Amino acid sequence: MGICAPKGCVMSISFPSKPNATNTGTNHWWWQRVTAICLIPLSIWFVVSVLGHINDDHAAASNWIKSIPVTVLLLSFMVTVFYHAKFGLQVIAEDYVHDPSTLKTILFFINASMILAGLASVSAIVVISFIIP
Amino acid sequence: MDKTPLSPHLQVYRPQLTSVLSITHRATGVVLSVAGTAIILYWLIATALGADTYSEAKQILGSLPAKIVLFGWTGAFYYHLLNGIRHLLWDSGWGLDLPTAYKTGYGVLIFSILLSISTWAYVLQKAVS
Repeated sequence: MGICAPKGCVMSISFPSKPNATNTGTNHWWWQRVTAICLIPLSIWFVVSVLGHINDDHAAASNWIKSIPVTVLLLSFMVTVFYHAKFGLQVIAEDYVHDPSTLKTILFFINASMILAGLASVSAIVVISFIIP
Repeated sequence: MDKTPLSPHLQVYRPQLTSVLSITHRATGVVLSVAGTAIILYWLIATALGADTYSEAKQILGSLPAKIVLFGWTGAFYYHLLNGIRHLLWDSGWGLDLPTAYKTGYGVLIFSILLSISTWAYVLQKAVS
């Protein structure tokens, strides 16, 4: 026996209606790891430097966000972290929710909330960096 | 779909360091995404809306109860980060034997506490100066 059953390797439980959608299982596994590796430096930078600005007033905080490296790092962090969270929450739901229609509903809410959170955070960063004085 | 393997049933599974650390990885992942999303969005949107909403958010997020929540969140973050690196090493084939898995498990616990404390020591010292 290999590391997992052949069918389990290529099938994602998220798409039970599409048994021939091969590779989606390994795809999720792979992207979970890719985002994880990107997040090692990005998340340490984010947590330490954002907490370090806990005492800033509005001018100091927005000036910090406006600097180009910070804008770029913040945008990269947001996209990567919400992608990573989507995959992580999805795997947990797939493991513990056994009723297919409940699972579908939960996966819908996970995807919708992570997409909205990603869009909202990216929009807020764009507004701070390029729109407000 | 019923043929796919199930995760261990937590109610009948004898807790041991390895299994407790494994479920804690998922629990911290959920805490980080739910609480982290709420806090990050609140902070960013308040900043984007202007100085008034920002100072209101700063007062709320800088209060003692919020700082305690943020400290707990920082602990969950370092745990998930370090245990995530442990998972990536396992994926590469390193450290899968039981003695190493226990050593890295204790290492994750100790270093997540140390890193949380030193991060907040830095944050509070920076806020004072």
